[in-house]
Amino acid sequence: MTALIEFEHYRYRYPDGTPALNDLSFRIQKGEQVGIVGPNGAGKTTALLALSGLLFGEGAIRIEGETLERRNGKHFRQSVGLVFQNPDDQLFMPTVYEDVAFGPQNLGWDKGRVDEAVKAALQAVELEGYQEKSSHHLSSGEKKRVAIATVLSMQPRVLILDEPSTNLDPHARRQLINLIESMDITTIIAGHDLELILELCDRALIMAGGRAVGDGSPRSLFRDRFLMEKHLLEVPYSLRSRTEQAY
Amino acid sequence: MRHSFLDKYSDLDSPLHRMDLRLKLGAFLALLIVFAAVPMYWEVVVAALILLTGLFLLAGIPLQYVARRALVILPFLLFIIVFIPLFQEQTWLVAWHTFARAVCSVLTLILFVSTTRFVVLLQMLDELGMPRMIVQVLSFIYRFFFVLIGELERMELASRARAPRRGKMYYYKALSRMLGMLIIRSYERSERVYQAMQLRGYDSEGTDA
Repeated sequence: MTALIEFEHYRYRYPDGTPALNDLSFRIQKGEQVGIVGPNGAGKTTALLALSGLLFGEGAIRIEGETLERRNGKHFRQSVGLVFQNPDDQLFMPTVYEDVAFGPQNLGWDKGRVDEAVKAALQAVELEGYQEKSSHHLSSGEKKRVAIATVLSMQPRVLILDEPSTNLDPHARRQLINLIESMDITTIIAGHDLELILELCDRALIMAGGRAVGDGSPRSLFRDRFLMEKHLLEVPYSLRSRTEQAY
Repeated sequence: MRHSFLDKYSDLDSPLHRMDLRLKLGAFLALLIVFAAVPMYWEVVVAALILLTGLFLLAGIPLQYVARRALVILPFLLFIIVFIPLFQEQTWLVAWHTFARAVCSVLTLILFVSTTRFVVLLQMLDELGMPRMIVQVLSFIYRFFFVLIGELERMELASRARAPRRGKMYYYKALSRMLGMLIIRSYERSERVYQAMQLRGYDSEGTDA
């Protein structure tokens, strides 16, 4: 079976020569919910940008068997819906409607189809009736959900969330978790919120030094104290044994 | 964070807010032309002020707010008026005319901006044939103005928290450095925003947006 996403011996160096991704290989099947964790500087965000066709390195990235290249990068951007960590980077139009419609309009869809896509996307994030609002009037949780809607409206094959729970209060975070859980789409979640990944993902990748150093069920990986601490992570509170919790 | 100080009252509902935009633009342009062309005898000025005040009341915009906004132009105006005697005869008359024209025009503009939603204004500019690139730039300015102000406020707060009792001069120095930082941060943000745009199918040739 062809994997939905495949990284094969992928390498990327920043323009100043610093290596960011170093022989990164993994596959993600359709319908999987995958968490990517790792210390700061592990290359998580770089990998996501490469997957979105914004950076190009050596090795191969394949989406449904097709290799992502510079010349077809634009074509792949529609299939990959990347939600940035900071919604203020992603919401750049004056109103919510225009932001959510931006992608579909650029895809050249006609007005009726764009309207439909916007409506469906806002419905999916439970923000119907927000079309005419300005982004700067929204709360952090609402901004995050609009940001998700802006990529959902393009009907991507995979949804990628970079640090989705940053700046959210527990209530907004819970809403976001319920929202992601309710969506029927292959999802990649990168970040440090291990509890969120434990709840939402059936698989986790640990990245360090630009490569994947662990791959498995989040529960079994995150419980491995040696592995976690070796890569500057820690065992989440909910997975610690009672005696450990006492400390 | 203060949020909507740019077009604070533009979401109200009044005859002026509902007026057809092209009609409104035409009427306001006509008013501006009148203020620029007609000799400003005091009767004219009083009539103009009564008209404008009436319109502000009709639109439901607090006069205090209008006065505060109009005050902003006063320094610029005085600066110009001070130099008039150097180039003109009949100094007091020219100075008075300039002053009256400027005040009336500014009030008219405030009325226009506070009864028109910025988004609608942008759409109209687009319809009137303003180059799309300029409309896009204006819309980004509108969107990110609030983000930048928020960022500046946070930086200022952080600096105050660390140097609570320094003098005014020190404060201005720090502020100038903050503005420098703000430019760098904005530059980095603009790259991320551009990536976000590319991800949603935008290319620099400016396909339909």
